[in-house]
Amino acid sequence: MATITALPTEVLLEVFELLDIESLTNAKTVCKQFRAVIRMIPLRSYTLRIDEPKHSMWKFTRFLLSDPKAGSQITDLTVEWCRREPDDPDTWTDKWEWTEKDLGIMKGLEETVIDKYLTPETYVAIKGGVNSEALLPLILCFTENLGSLDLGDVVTELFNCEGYPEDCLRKIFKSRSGGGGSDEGGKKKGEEEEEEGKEEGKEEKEQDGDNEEEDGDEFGQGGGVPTIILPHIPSEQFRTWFHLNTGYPGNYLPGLSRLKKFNHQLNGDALVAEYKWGWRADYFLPILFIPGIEEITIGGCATDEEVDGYTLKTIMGWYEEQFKGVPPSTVRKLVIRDARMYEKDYELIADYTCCLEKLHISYNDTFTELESYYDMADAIYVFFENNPKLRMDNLYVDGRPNEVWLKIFHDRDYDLLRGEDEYRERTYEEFVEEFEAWSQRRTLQDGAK
Amino acid sequence: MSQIILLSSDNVEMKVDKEVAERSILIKNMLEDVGETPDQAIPIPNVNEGVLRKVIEWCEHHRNDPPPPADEDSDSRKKSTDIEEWDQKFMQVDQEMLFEIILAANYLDIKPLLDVGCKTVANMIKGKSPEEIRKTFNIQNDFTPEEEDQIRRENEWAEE
Repeated sequence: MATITALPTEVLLEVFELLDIESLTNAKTVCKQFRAVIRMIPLRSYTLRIDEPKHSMWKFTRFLLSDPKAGSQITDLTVEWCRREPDDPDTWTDKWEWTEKDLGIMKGLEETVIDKYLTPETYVAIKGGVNSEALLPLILCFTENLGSLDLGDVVTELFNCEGYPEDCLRKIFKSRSGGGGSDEGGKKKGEEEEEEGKEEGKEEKEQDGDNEEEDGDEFGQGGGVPTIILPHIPSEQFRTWFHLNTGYPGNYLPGLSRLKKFNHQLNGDALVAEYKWGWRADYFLPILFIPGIEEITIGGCATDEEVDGYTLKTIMGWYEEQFKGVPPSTVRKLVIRDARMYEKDYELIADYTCCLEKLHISYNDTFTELESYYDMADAIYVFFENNPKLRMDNLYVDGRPNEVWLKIFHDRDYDLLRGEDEYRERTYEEFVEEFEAWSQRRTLQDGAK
Repeated sequence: MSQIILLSSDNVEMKVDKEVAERSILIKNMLEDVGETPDQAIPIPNVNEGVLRKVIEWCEHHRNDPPPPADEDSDSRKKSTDIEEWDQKFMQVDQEMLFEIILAANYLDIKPLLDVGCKTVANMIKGKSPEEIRKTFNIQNDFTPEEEDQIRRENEWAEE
């Protein structure tokens, strides 16, 4: 007699692929055969809800820990930010408790995964069970076939949490020590060098170790609040655990190594007068250099030369030194929204691109307008020089008509067209015509290659 | 209109229009290989008379349907479980017949009929608890308590 269990696997698969996630979850519990077949269905895309009260991030992480292979089926991840009031710890996600078994699994992964890809502080945060965003880098350790990562709009409230990872660590620390209100004021701001930062960390550890000895076991040696150190990022800057663990050329989080599409925005309201900063634009540099990356959309990023003395150029120097000549980015479509960067930052991006077909740049107009159209034209010029597939039609900068740039190109006698013939005076109209022809020829030549 | 004869697994001959029989890709390919319309009956060893009649009934009704889109993998084939009215009625059979039809559609390679069958089964699973699903299809729970615990953990994250 024909029953449902007599159906061949490929037919059952077809049935299960028609089901919504809830029905699938139920069907998986029916019998071994159903379960085996349902496990063959690729997860493909999933939405992670950070700081969702029901701990969906944590549950999802446990699921991956129990079945790490499932992660490799995920191709799309979307992040939703659910964080509520940063000033009111009561509205933060409740703590979650790992089971001994979970901790055992993680221990087993230390050598191959955790120590390799995550900063020690991140591991503390993961085990601490307070900040679910810390789970994102861990999840990305299991999704090596991820093609698209949409970080969505990082919420304003989160943005307002200065030094957010440190706050999280403090909270873990407090909760472990029974809420003993140790003074957090000791956090020094300013231009600390890497070594100074380390020393400060030691001091803190010693201090806390005196007061709350029992924490030593929980956090390994020392037992205090670890200080987070990235060589080039001052500790009071806004960053997420994701930013801290992105990795860099040659050592990306596994979930970023095959990424094609990346989106990271900031909720626009964050850029109100009180907070003139966006997120540090250099967090996106590692993303730019992921081999094979195609589309990057970022919003609300900033650099500041006057206050912190950093531009993408200074950061890029650090990369160059570390990784000995980074190859140019493969990005084809780049959208930078509501940014607060200098013309020279764009020039740096232009220096490291070669495959761009589309470029959109808009400024955060609350604070900056272009400082100089001429400087920006310089940057755009480099974009054209390095990206043969980039056409004026696919360029959008600051909402200006592209005539603005063409006129400056013409005024300045840029040498884009040099080699076509001897230098000669051109009217603007002639220039535009020749520019268009030059542009087309380059696209064709590049296509032929 | 040329006709061919199909022979069911229980040795019953059925005359059908060639066009109707060719809704089955298996039969269509077979006929193309032979080159001309055969005089002898084509044996369908895996399908009994009752089921074959049902399948032919479906093919008769859908004889003029346009061919399904070539690339099956495209997103155009949405995860919809909507079934047109005639097909719904057609599928109102007992479970044994339903699965026999699905198996026959799979064997004879009649993709649209297989789709209707799969959708019908999916609709029978949708919205049911594991226990209800077991009851509906008369399935034994063959998990050990430890395995059930493991599955519950896996499922946690999906529960809203």
